[in-house]
Amino acid sequence: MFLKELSELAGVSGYEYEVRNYLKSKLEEMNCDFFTDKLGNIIAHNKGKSKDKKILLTAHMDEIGLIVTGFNPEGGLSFKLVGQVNAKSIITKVVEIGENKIAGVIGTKHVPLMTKEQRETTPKISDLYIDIGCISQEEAIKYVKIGDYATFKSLYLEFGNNQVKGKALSSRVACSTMLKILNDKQDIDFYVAFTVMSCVGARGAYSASYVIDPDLCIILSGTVATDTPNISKHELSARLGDGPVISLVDKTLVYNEKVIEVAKDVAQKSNIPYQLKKSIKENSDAEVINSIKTGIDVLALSIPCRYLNTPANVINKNDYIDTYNLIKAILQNQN
Amino acid sequence: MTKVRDFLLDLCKYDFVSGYEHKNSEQLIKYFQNTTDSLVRDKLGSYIFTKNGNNSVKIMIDAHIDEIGLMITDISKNGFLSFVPIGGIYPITLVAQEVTIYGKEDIVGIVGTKPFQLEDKKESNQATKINQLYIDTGFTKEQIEKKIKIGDIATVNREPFMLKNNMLTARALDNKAGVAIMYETANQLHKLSHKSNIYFCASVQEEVGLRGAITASNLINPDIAIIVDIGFGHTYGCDESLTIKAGQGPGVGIGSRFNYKLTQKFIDIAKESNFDIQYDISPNGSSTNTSSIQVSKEGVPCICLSIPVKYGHSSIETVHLKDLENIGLMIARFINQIDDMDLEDILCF
Repeated sequence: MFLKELSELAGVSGYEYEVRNYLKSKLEEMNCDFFTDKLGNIIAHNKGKSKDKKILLTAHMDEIGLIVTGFNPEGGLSFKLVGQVNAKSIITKVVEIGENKIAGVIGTKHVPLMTKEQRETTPKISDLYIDIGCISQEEAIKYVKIGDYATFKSLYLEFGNNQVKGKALSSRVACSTMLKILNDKQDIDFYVAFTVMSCVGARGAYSASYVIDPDLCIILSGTVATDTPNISKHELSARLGDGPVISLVDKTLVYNEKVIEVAKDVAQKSNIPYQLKKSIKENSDAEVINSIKTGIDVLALSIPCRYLNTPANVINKNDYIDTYNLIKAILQNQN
Repeated sequence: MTKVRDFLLDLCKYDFVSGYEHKNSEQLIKYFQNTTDSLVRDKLGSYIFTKNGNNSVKIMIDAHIDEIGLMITDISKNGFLSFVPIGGIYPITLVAQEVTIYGKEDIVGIVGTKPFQLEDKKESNQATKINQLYIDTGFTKEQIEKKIKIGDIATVNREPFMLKNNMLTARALDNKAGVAIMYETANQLHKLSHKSNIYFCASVQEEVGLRGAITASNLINPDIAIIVDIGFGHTYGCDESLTIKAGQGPGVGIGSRFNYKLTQKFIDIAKESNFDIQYDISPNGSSTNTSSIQVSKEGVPCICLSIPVKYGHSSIETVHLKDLENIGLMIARFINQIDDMDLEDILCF
């Protein structure tokens, strides 16, 4: 099952090898044409009836995580965050480091030994460290090295009413959806880019969209769900179960309303639920792609995701299915 | 070390939240069945395994079996659950943590909090508080009400696993590590001879007020008590005089709660037998069962041994298996040596 397998692979921004290798092997099995570009993106081509518009779909492969920056004298590892990690969510979590997946726990000082100020403020990253069980730097160096990436250990789990919990769902739902669409082998010509380094500034999106230079680019990712407690009315945006989210505006981008109207129209005609993203607090690869070369029309679709930026993302399976259906319908509509 | 490791890899899978220690009793009892002679329970549920000797000396060894947890207090109209802590839970350890609620069925949930994109600078700098957290079970109110109810308890999900260096990580090593030490001592005493009668007490409700230890001690009426619980395992950045180091033996309690001469005797015997020990200097009190056992009935002379455990009261409590094995051996040796001691001489003032 693509999503479960993808969610559990390691692919922190800048080191997407495991995910890329998995996707390459799946594309080979499907007999799908693809190549890898100079930054590590996979660009696949679904050959079929070509029309006026060149279409590119993108899904990012990478996830947030940690990178080892050094050792303390007692064998603990200091680290930096990679991408937008919710620092409050990592204390006492389990990680796997490097290619050998060395197990570690993210620890800090005992709470009763903290000062009042330390107890009342969010622990700083410099006060946290990864403990792999070693008691000295000499020992720790045998197992991990500076620059090793660490992913959160968070197993895929289906729970509740059609909900899924796992790490990296925003990227892996997108990758999984693209694999399914390519596997359908529709008689429509389009490209899919599995991009790198989205979480650290949309780096892969630059080269993928430049190389393909499409007329329309549909970017698929995850977006913050706001259907949880303690959120004020004016901050409400996406909800789990209400379908794929169409972006109206992001931090630096105002989407072309014609593109949005076509997407809404297709959704309505195909009876696929959809919702509109009204929050402007996230970045999207779309912001980069929109101003590549002389400009590319972009449509940003997202799956609503609770606890994004933590090791325990939660999505609704129906949204996953509806997002796949909507993209399929949009592709068919282009023809 | 494989015996204590296997003991913990098994027992740490089962919940023993304060007040609900009866639920998985067979999982605990099976480990003491072959090495002890009888089991009694006091009225709070403490487990007292007796190993008979042939004189009248009664030695109580106490390691509380209960652990901290959560109790469900509300189901919102959208199905999210509110909860309160049972014992000393730190909210900062719960964000994005998977939990299990023990209702009519076991229900998995994720502890959620506000997206950080929506926090202002002040909120973002403040440590997470319990009222900012809720449990997401993925069900609607109507659905979840059929499976769990207000008052049901929950624990965090963390399967025990090994780090390097024989360090074991699990939830609730406070105080299953102590129970593992009692298990080791019981196994050792089964091979050695001893004249005293030993009462291995897996007491209940320590985390909510050191309660099961009082009732158990009142029932046993011991001559001396040895309490085993976790202490602050040294982690980087901690003041070394306030912590004890993993792999270097128990922190022997020195202070008003611990009988001075008896404690010195323990230290002498440990050193003679070439065991490593450290010190846990606690002059004004003890947050362990020693505080209640010392003043039960007419008073009980106590020794307290702290296990170096890192990240206490979190899902990643970490202990060195060597410490568990050695502390278990040390207690067995001490009990063995008491047979030839004039205990009255040591204990009289």
